[in-house]
Amino acid sequence: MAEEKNRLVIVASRGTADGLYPALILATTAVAQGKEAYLYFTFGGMKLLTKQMAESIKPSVDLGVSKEQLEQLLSRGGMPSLLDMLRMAKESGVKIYACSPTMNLFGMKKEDLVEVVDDIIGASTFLEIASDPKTLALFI
Amino acid sequence: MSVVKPVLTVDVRGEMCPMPVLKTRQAITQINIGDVIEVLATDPASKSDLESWARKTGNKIVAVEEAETQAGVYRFLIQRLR
Repeated sequence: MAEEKNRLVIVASRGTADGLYPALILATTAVAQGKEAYLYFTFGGMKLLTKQMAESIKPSVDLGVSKEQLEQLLSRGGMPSLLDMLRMAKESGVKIYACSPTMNLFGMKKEDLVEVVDDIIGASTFLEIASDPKTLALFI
Repeated sequence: MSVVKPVLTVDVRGEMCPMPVLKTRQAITQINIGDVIEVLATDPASKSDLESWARKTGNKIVAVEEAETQAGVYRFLIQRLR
């Protein structure tokens, strides 16, 4: 029988609330289940790791609700804000990685990132982490 | 139905996935092995989510019942086993 996958790796590539919540929900739940979890933020997803942008992330047009409406619905369900959820993830042991090519592209510096980032990595490091046979890797 | 006495209550009524599992996990680390916590939840997925969480973490759901006083509220008794 194949061994159970005990590591979850997620590429969070979208800079919308409905693109980022699922990544954070799955990563925090994975840790609660005793797995290791890694979140690799890239392209649009990097907004959540960027001080100047993290609080202004909106839902996608596809979701059909405004930022305010979504925040109201989420808080009714006891759901923290994206940034609080990110901090919760970090505190619970989720590893948070920023994408180096995205940072180069937009001229971002380490000082621009929110304080939870564990490391800035590129494609090769990411692939090494994701290549472990006991890893479940998702692209969101 | 159960004579087990919980040492802690996690009230996540009204809260959505993943909060019931995250808060249950946080609570179970605060009790001794062998002790039991009570979880009150309304999320319709909480039953399957907490059962799956218990299987993965090796803890035991001693009882699940729909609370008699409030329809749509699930009451779980979960024993810390490790």
